[in-house]
Amino acid sequence: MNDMKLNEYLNDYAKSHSPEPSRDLIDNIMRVPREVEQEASILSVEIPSKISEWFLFLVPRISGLTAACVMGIYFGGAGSSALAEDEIDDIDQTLIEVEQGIILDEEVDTLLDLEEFIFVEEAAQ
Amino acid sequence: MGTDAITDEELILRIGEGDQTAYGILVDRHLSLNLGYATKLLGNAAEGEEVMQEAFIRVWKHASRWDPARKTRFTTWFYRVVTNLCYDVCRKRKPQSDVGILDRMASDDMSADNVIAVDQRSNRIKKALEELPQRQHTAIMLCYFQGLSNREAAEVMEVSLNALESYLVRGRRNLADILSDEKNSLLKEIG
Repeated sequence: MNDMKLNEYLNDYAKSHSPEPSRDLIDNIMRVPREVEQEASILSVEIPSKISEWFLFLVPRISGLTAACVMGIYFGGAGSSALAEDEIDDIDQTLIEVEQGIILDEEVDTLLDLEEFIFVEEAAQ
Repeated sequence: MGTDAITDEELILRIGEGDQTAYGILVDRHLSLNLGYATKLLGNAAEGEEVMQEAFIRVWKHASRWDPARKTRFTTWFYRVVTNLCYDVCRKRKPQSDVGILDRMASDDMSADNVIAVDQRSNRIKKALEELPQRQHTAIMLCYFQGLSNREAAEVMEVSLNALESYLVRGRRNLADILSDEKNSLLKEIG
């Protein structure tokens, strides 16, 4: 179908499908101001726009700050390999006790045995 | 000062202050044109009237929020409202979209005599338009039937000018194809 024919069809369609508004429709539409309340004016416009500006202003900053805090806690806090203070105290205490010959726990025994064994091996050589 | 000298944008500002006369003038200016648009877009006069009623309720309700600083034209905004309302109606009736054109016409509030009297050629166009994708259909409606410039139609549809032109070209091509196919099948049926 060529363009001219198509335009002709479209014009015919436009003419036959342009209804006039019915009386009922006009009455219903003209009744709207009496039946429907308008939304509150100025304030309802101004406040959301300011809130949205503040929102846009704050969100990146708060996100950045939060990210910095989280990273600070993650990197600055005690890592899994670091020993807690009370664990260090325990070890110090054990060493003091070993030096004083008060307690020899299993680990210390093993260590002493190993040292003795090495000493014996070296002597044999 | 005659009412013609007052722009739509001035009227909407007055409506925002509760001026019912301004509302009446705006209804008088835009009802017929937009009713034709909604009816053609929906292919149904009753639905077109419902859309127009809802559109003017929105005009009244939201007039107080009209921001002249945005420099939006009322016509563009109003076409956009009507278009979106029409899309909503189409979306709601989607499950019944396979209903044939004759079934749909019969469901309108038209008498049997009127159905018969409807011009055959216009109905072919109507049917073909309804087969087009929604955006192409809207573009054709705005540019060919509502007399909007391509730029204005693009603003209404919230697309770029290039996209709008593409919808128009593809829409016309599809429309011509649909009508040609229909013509060929009719000719085959006849003999």
